[in-house]
Amino acid sequence: MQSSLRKKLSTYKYVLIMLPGLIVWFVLSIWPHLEVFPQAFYKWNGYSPNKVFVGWQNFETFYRSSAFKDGLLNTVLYVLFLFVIQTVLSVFLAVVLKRNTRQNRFFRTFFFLPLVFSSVMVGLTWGYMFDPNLGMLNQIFSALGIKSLESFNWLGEPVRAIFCIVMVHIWANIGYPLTILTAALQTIPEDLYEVSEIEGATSMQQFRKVTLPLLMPALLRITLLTVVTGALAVDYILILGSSVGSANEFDTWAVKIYQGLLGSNLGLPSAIGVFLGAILFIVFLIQYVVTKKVEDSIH
Amino acid sequence: MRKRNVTGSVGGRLVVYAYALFLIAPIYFIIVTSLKMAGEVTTNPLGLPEYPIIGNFVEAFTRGNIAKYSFNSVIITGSAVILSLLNAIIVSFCLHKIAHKKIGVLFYAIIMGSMLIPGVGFVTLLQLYMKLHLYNNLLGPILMGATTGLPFNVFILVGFLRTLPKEISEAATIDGCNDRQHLFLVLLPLIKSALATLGIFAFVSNWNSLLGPLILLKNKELFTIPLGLLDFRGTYTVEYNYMFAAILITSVPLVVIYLRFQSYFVEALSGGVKG
Repeated sequence: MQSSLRKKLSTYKYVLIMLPGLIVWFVLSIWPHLEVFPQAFYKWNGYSPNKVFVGWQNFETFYRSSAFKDGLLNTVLYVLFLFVIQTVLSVFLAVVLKRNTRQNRFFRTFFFLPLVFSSVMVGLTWGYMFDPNLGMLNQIFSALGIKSLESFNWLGEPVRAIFCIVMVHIWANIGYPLTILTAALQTIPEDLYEVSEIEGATSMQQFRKVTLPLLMPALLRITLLTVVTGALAVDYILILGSSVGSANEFDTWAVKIYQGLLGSNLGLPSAIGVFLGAILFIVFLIQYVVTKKVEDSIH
Repeated sequence: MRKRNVTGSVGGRLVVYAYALFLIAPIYFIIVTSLKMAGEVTTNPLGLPEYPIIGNFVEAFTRGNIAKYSFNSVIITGSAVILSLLNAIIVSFCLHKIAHKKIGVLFYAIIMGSMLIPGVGFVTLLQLYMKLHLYNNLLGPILMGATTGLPFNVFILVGFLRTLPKEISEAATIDGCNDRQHLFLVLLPLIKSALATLGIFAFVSNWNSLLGPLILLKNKELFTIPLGLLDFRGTYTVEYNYMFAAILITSVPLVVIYLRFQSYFVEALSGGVKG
């Protein structure tokens, strides 16, 4: 009886010890995210006492504006390009560099390196590569004698610009999926490959029947990670855009939230945030269900 | 059949080399351009510099105000990393000590926090920080960096504490350790490698963080290195040689840290698969 009382008391003690840190965390990091929902129903410039409740008007304004459709299209394109190119490339590189030879370890270390660079450094560097007048890419084409690409405007058209920006994103980011996939590949037992080789499987068949199914859990993890980082990617678009703060025709929803911060009605970016959060929540649910199904089919 | 495997692996190797070329090209241009005179950047854009000019780095360092920005970055990153790890250690230790079924709910509630989407809450976050007088103040980015990583850190640390044998904690209690001794003298040395991994991760993400400082800092005196570099572009649009010299100066420390602590990075990422 007494010992259970003491246990209860000690539980309260530990709750009390960690409470201050948890409260600070909740207020500074969690609360602002929850506050977005009520904020989206007000019209307010952030400092005036004049905060007007407008109901669904912010959602409607955003839904009817061109920013909704263009931004959504850009976001979907960004996520799609990022997901397809990065996943295919990282699976390919991980499989080729699977064995732990010295050369392979060197390449893996090297491919991971850009992850430690800041997005500003990466963005400014690639901004120079893409520059239509001085840019390195055009200089290379000019040196190779390809006249048509000599003063090519790489970021001049939305779809092309998004593709180019996604390549920059991959350049900086591929170390993540590559490391996760390499770790997952090394848990696949070597015997499976030996057996399938004895039975005469080609390396393509080995990949499809052995490697890919066993990589599935890791791949699903990467899928969610890629979709979320793609949908929220702001850095490269902002830096490669004309100048920080001004609107570009390749802006995604996430970038529009940031740019809405500089506008006169803060309810609008909040409404975009709610839209974006809702879509990502659906993606999260789908990923959860699919992962459950795949895990059940393995066990 | 053997033959097909060989050609397949040659093709695979070629893709690896091609990707390596794609990766190294911008780095080559940064280094080469940073050593050129302003005129040579346009007349000889691709080749090696005729006369490498080391003075560019000195010029970039003073003009780019890099000493000041580095100081701010060190203050912000250092405080944020220490505070976030300290908070994560205390919370994980308490959760580990309680180890009660009902409290498990609290653990999952904290982990749920990592699913909130960063960026969505920027509007209200900025207002809150303004209200608390954390806007345009180094404390703002410090507290932001110190709080954002908590769910991930707690998740990793609680998992790590669970793998330790129970006997260690029991022996500590019998020997009459109080909580502080138990945590700092017994448990911390055992989870050193996990802490190092989390610490390096927190360091890199805070050091490179752009959006937080961008919305929270207005005064140039308070800028971090990423903000400073961005500002450099605004001020000296065409002088790529100085900009790249500044980029190179500020990136080299990170490359050194990465090469020195590389195994920790890999551990942090691949640990996510097992966990």
